[in-house]
Amino acid sequence: MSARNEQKMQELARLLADVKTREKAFAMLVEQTRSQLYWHIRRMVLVHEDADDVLQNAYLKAWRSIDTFRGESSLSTWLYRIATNETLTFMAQQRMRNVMTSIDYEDLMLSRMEADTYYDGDQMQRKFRQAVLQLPEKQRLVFNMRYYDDMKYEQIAEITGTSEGALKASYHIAVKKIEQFILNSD
Amino acid sequence: MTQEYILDRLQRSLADDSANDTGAASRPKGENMPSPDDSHFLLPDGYFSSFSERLNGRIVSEVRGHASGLKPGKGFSSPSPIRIVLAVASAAAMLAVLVGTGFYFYNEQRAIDAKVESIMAYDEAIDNLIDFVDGQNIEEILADATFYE
Repeated sequence: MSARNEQKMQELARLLADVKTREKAFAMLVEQTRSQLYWHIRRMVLVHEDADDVLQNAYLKAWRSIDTFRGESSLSTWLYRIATNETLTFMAQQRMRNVMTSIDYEDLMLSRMEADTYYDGDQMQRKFRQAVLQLPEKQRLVFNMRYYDDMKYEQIAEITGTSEGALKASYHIAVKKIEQFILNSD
Repeated sequence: MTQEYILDRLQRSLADDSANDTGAASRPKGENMPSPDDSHFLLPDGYFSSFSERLNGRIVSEVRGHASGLKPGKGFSSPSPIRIVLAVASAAAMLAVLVGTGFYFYNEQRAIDAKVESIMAYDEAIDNLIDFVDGQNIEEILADATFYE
């Protein structure tokens, strides 16, 4: 995140702490972060409607627990953490719902993605998604944050509560797995 | 999107990792425009502004919900006439349900008592019959029974 953005976030954090300016500051915060968070969630859940639900729940949770924000991490890291937890909870619930069916959850996600009105991928994009889907959930999260969001390991470590060294190793392994999947599935 | 593009991107991201930790070359993105790797994910028109409106609506209703309750340091806010009517109606409905439930259980208890009484009377009749039979010669009773046939 640029220094200017960081400054903006600090100013928003100050406005959020004051009950009088909280509502307006939160609306500004949403405007500032909604796109990044949406794509963060969408890449995990794949379907637009699910991403929309999770994003809304994440912001509502953030709004309700704004008093618990102590400023120990940046506002954006705090929001990412909430969105990540909300995404993982959503996926765990979906997995539980499908536990009785013989269909693999990842296969189900892939077929739901293809049936989604807001999906228009070609064969290669499908293969790439499939390759990313074979990663364990947490590794997928790390991969997405690094590959798509260009996020620093330091921030990913704050969001996931994992050491930077472990994250680097995890990303490296994830890239190798994806490469292998793409090359071997020809 | 081609296989070469993906493999190249993956390789470059690893190279970035070993060079420094500033992240890969930033790819500018508009709000409704995902990165090239996400181009297969579409969005409804004007999604983000409609999202904000919906979210704002929910937050405003939560804020109002809180505001209509107890205000710290200011006591209760004055309730509107509709709220009073609703509160009275719901209290009346609750009372009706309580009275109805009580009446139902009272009737049920009475029915159970009546059943217990009839069972006790039946028990008594059986005891009397046993007393009558007790001590008598069974052949006499059978002979009487044959006599009455």
